[in-house]
Amino acid sequence: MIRKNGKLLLCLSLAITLLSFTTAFAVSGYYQVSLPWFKQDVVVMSGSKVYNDDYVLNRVDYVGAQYDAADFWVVRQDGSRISDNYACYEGQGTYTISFKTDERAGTFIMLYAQNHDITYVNVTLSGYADLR
Amino acid sequence: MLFNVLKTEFAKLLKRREFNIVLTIEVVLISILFILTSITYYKGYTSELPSAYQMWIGYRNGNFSFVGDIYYLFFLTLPASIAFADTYLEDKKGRVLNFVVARCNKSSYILSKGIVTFFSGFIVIFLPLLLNQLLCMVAFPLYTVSEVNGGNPAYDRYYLTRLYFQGLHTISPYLHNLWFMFLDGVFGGVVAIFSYAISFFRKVNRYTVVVLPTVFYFTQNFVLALLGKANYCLTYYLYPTTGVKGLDYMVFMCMMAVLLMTSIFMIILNARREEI
Repeated sequence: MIRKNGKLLLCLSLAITLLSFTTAFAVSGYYQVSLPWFKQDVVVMSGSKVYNDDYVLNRVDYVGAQYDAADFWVVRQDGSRISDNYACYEGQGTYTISFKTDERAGTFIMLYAQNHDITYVNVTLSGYADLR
Repeated sequence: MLFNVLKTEFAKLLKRREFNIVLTIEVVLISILFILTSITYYKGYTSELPSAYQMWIGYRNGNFSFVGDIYYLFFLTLPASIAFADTYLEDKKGRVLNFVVARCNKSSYILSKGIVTFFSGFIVIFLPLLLNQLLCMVAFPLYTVSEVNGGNPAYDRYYLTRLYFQGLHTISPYLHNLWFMFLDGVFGGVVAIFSYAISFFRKVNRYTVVVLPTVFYFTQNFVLALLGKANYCLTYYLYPTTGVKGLDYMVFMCMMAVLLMTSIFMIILNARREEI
């Protein structure tokens, strides 16, 4: 009985440890979205913050057609903005999108994007973001 | 004689109701847009204030870029066409053309009207943009620490690598903005001349003369973007912070030259057929 419980406890703790890693990695990673025409907004990435950092990191790897920049900003789950717009250019390294408010770990945030220029077509956007 | 006709046409421009209304609307609009964008920095931290040149309506620094987008899309071509371009049509329909041409020769009249039309299109676009920059210089510091913050990597300044006229921007970002105001003014002038050329066709009405250049502008941008040739869309040449690869301002100059030559050709061809 004790051995059974011990095995169960071990499996559970392993699962929790793995899950916690998954949660930590869930808010960072590569993304690929389609930026709608006429500067409409699109959610690039969303998740709960793991750290108490008041910024997210973003890197634009590719913008389709002949465009080379997109504007990014961060909002809370209720839609309230917590950062200014940041124009992130393709191939220019990692940008730090700073918050205007103090956000704690566990807060659900969404990284939004729109094309930097007015377009008449949808444009592919890919990159890497870390919501911290 | 050309000088006298030019003087008369300029006087007519300054008294023209449409020119004054359009210029007033543009100035009021640009002031409202300035207040809309700058009020967000009221009581803001000094370290977060952008420089005055970054607050100019053509300089899209991320926030409120939709303001500049709307202005550049809808308030450049139409005001340039409305200001003075349809006055030839007005004179023709009011049957005053023969009386005017009787006092001076036809070519002086058409040439001076063309010059004033170009000037009207230039002024209606250039002046509001200049006013916007001057308002920004009153409300914001000329240079702030935002030059070094704003989320960009420390080893890269996008405005040193992505702007087309980087050298001019390095010398003075205000001269850089002024250069774009001048380019936009030239664009307005050429659009006005194109409207003026359309007015020489028979059986055109005032609305066709005023609206057609705007329709062509939207169509050109839309079709070229659809074909994957965004670097040939006119709208992306009109402001400095375009995020489009492959821009070449020689292309823009050529497009303006072609449009101007086409307009002049249309005017000469139709004016010769005109029985005045």
